[in-house]
This record gives sequence, C-alpha cells and structure tokens, in this order.
Amino acid sequence: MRQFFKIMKFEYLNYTKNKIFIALTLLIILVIGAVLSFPRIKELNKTDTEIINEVPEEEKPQIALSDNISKDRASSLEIFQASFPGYKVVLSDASEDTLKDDVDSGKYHSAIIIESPLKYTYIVKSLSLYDNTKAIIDSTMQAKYRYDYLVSAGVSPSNAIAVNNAVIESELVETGKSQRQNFFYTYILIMMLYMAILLYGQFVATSVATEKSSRAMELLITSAKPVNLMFGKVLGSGLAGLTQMVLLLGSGFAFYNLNKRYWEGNMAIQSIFDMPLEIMLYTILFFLLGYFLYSFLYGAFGSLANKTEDINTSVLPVTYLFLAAFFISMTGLSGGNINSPLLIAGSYIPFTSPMAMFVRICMSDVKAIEITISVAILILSTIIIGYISAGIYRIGVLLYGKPPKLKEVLKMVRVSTKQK
Amino acid sequence: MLLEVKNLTKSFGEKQVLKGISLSVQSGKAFGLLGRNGAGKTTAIRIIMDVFKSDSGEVLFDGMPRSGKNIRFGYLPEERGLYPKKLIGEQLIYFGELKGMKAGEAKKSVQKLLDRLDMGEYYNKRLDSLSKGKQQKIQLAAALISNPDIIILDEPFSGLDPVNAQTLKEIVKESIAEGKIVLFSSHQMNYVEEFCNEIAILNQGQIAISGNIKEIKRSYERNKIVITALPDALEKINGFISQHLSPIISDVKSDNNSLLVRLKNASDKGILLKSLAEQNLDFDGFNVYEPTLNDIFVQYTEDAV
Repeated sequence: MRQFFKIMKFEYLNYTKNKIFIALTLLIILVIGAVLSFPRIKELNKTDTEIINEVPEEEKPQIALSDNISKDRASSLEIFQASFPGYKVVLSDASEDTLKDDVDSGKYHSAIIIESPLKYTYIVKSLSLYDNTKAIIDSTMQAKYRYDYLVSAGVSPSNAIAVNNAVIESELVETGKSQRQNFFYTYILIMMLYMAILLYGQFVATSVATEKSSRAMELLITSAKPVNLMFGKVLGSGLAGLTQMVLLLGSGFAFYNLNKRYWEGNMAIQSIFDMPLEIMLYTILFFLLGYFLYSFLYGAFGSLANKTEDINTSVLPVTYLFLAAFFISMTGLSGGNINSPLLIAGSYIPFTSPMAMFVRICMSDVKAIEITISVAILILSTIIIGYISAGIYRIGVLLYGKPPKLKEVLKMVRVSTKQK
Repeated sequence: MLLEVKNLTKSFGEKQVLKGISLSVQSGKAFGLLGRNGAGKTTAIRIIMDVFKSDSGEVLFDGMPRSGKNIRFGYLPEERGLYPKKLIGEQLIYFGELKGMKAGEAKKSVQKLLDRLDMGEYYNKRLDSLSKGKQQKIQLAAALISNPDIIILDEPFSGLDPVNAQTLKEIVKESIAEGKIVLFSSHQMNYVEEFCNEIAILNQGQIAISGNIKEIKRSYERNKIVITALPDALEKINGFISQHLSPIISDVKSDNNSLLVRLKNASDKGILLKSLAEQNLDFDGFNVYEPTLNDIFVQYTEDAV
C-alpha cells in the first residue's frame, strides 16, 4: 500500500510541478477571468453620457422606407419606426435601383419598398445568419393590414390598436427539470468531461509509453508491483486532473460572482453558474469514474506501444470507444431526446455511463436508485478493468518489437493470472 | 542466503525460451550467467525477480518460495534507462522508496552511494545532462540503492571506460565481501573470470554447462602443450618434434611465438619435456594448455542461432 501511495505521489507531482502544466492552467484561468470580466471592462471604458443615452439618434443605422400606396405616409413611418427601435427609419421616394445602390454603398442598412398592402421588397447588402428584419416587416405589415381593415370596417382607431395589440398572459409550470434552462450547463460540462477524460487518458498512455521507451520500465517493473504501478499512475494523474478541474471551476465561479451584476439577463451564462450544487458534485463524480475507467484502458494500451510515436495508433481502440460514448450522449442531449432507449441503455453500460447518466441527471429526473445502480456498475467494472489493465501492462511493458494483437495479450494475461 | 533455481521452463506463445534451467548461488558468491543474445538469460533473471511467472519449476530462497519474504533485489538491466528529465537525486530516492525504504533513509543511501561513485555533485542535475558513462554510474546507483540481498548485473561493464570499470569492479568485490549474492551476466569473459567461481552457460534455453570455472577447465583433457620461444628457436623446436617425436604426437600447430602440441597421450608430456631439454633447445615456456572461458563459451554456444 505504501508503494502505491509513493507512486501516486510521484505521478501527481510529475504533473503539478511541471512548468507547462502550471502555465497552461494559469493561462486558462486568465482566459476565464478575461471572458467573465469582459462586460465590466467594456463598461469601464464607456463615458457617462454613453451609458445614459446608449446610441444617439444620428448614429443609428438607417432603413429607407418607400411607401407609395399608403394615404398617410407619416403614420406608416411611425408604425415602422416603432417596429425597429434600433434603427432610424426614413421615408424615401427614390427608385428601386437607386435604393439598391444606396444600400450597397452603405448609406442605408437596408430598404423596404412597399408595393401593395400585402407585398413588399426587402433590400439588404448581405443577409446575416441571425437577421430577423424580414419577420419584423412581415408582422408589421400584417398588423397594419388588420388595422386598416378594421378602421375601414368602422372600428374606431383606438379599438383597432387594442385588438391588434391584445396581450396574452401566460405562466409556465414545469413539473420536471427544465431542459431548456439546463441545456447550457449540461452542454458545457459534457464538453469539459469529454476533454478532461480524453486529455488525461492520453497523458497516462504517454507516460506509460515514455517509461517504456526510455527503459525506465525495466527498473520500475522489477522494483514495484504492476498493480501498484498502474493504479498509482492512474490515480496520481486523476488527482492532478481533479486539481486542475477544481481550480478552473473555482476560478470560473469566483470571476462570475465578482461580475455577477454585469451578466444579468444573459441566460446562457446565468444558467451555467446558477447550476445546483448537486450537479457540480455529479460532475466531479462522473469525471473521476469516467476518467479512471478510460485511463486504465489508456494505460494498458499505451503499454503496448514501443515508442512514444506509436502511442496514438496503440490507443486508437480506446479513443474510438470513448468517441462513441461521447456521441451517444451528445445526440441524446442536443436532440432533446433524453428518454431515448439508447441513452437509457447507455447510462448503465460502464463505457458510456459516465456521460450518458450525467446527461440524464442534468436534463431529466432520474430516480436515485437508477443513479446508484449505474454508479455501482461503473465502480465495479472500473476496478475489474483496472486489474485486467495491470495484467496487460505487466506483459505489455516488457514486450518490444511488433505490438501484439489484443487477443494474444489477453490470452497471455489469462495464462499469467492462472499461474498466480 | 541460498538462491536456488530449479527446472525453470517458460514459453512466450509458441517459442519455448527456457527449457529447464537450474542453478544455485550462496551468499558472498558471484555467479556468472553466460550465453549468447537470445539464449534466455534475461527471461531467467526476470523470473528470479518475479516479474514473470515460470511455466514450471521454482525459485527458492533458503529452500522456501519467495511469497511473503522481503527479499531485496538490485538490478542493473542490460537496457539502461531511468527518467532522463528528472533530477538524479530525486529519482534515485523514488526508486529506493519503491523498494520499501523510508524517504530519509533513501536520501542518506543515495548521497552515500553517489559519493562512493564520485557523483555527489550531480545530485541536483538532470540525468540527460550527463555523459553516457556517468549515466551508467547512476544506473548502478539505482541498482544498489536499497542495500539489496541479491544484485543482478546484466552486462555491467559495457560502455565504461577503464577507470569507471575499475570503480565498478571494486564495488562488486565489496558487495561480494559483504555477503551479497551477485548474479553476473556478461559477454566480457575476463570480468566473469575475475569475479565468479561458478558459471552456467545458457544455450537455446538450456544449460550447456555449469559448475566451478576451474573444474570445468580441468575437465578438459590435459594433452595439449603450449611451448613458447623466440621465433628462431621455435622453428628449431618444431623441426625437432616433427622429425623425432612423431610417435607420441598427433599434431602440431604453430603461430608467431608459440607451438601448440597435441599429444596422443597426456602422460607423455614428460617425454616431450625431457627430449626438448636433452636437445638443449631454447624455449621460454612449457605449459599445459587450459581453455580460456572464452574458448569454452564459444565451444558450447557455437551451434546456437
């Protein structure tokens, strides 16, 4: 046991004393800090008048309105101006070609030519991905059409406006977890789990292969038990990963709370940082379990590589398995189909459950017993895989030359455990 | 302590690497495990150190299996390797701790060993900043760090200059004098002869010959005589022997400064000596030829692929 702790400590310090590791962690913390402080910094640079007046009237982009069919062009302008508060709408009598040129040259942001009460042309230089101007024009024109019709049918203008602007009150009651609200943080946490497990898994594989190629292994394997070497290495780097994760999450929360005032109204950011504590704890639990499971596999497969250059090829089966697990969870998450049989089945299979069960916990209501069963299966299979990996490692690290097929290695492991 | 290896066999897949190896070494003795590349030396060493399990056979320490016993091994692998980017003192302490030493104890031992090897100043240097010969010394320190009961040295002299080789020789002799078991694997026969009384020559997974070196040498028929002399005299002797002594001689080989005379009967060497003396032929040496360890090695392993 002492030997195991020695190895774990050695591996842990290998990471945390590494200059690149420290620099990278600090850099990410800095980026997190900069991003989360951005609104505050932006506001510091604004002058006082700007804060009060936002954008002055003259500086707003202009929309040209060509309306030759309305009797009352002034009220038409008023209606459109009300629909586009961020723009200055101006009347124009210019021809369509002139307006095209003006939009193209940047004089106007865009131009609206009304041809009939139900037909218009919208001229814009290039339609941006999120441009909803057309939808606004549509609804403005519809409202205007209804208003004109009601007025012509003898309804008083004020009643016509009231009918048009009828306000509907609603209240939303969700009995389960809000998928909409939880989506953002689940997405971010799954990405974080994915990157952390992949990164640290690769670290373990690299570390094993480096020891093998530098032949330090010859001495290690004769000085310590393979099970201790494997578990010490995996747990040591796992702790390093956890340290980094806690630092990053912690600094994220610290910076958010410093700048909380400036993020009001930003649903994505708020949803991430207002996530319940239990979700945080589940993140850590599933990171650790998923990480251990995959790191054992990465360590075992890394031990089959002869040179550090061969690592990527050696660990490819593990990476594929992990990618499959990631995609199952991601399709469940982004497809909104949280209760799909695939995701539910995946949440009990040890290779997919770290992410699949995590998605289900975040996005829906999972019974405690289900979580317990899933976690128990995961823990048990992680330990079993740990021992099998140590067996592969014991044999793999002393095999040089052509990497053997996995089947052959497993056969050797079986034989060597029998002899025990 | 008595280290006994009995009838080890081991196969990797189809290939049988060890086909029944037995040997035994007592504390305070060095044992030479010889054999060509691929003969099975490293596999045998790994089984002794419990890195592999053998398919059959056993390794006994004072007549008991290893299980439960705390037997400390020191190992200098043929493929040298430590952590190139780590500080020397740090990694040596780590290896000491892996073998069950306490941190303070390991640190003391490392400092003592490095001083003994004239490497004290490199305690806080990275391993890859050292020359190959110095790295080799660090490797030796890693083998000796835990004050092992059994020291296994695989090709310890390769890559050492004569001064460093001398230091290593002294350390090996000290270890033997301290009552440790030294298992020595090398192709450099002069070193083997210097340290080891007992040897085993491995050939294709089997022990081709084993035992006390002197006895092995004596077991050869003592019918070959080496006569050394100056070139002129040697020619005269050669002429005399072939003219007058052919009845007792089966053949004569000559090179620049010696004649190798093979007698039909080992007991005739007195006649040969007497005849040469009577003729007043001028020779410098008259010796019974003993095979060198090298000759024996080549003889027993020549057929190996």
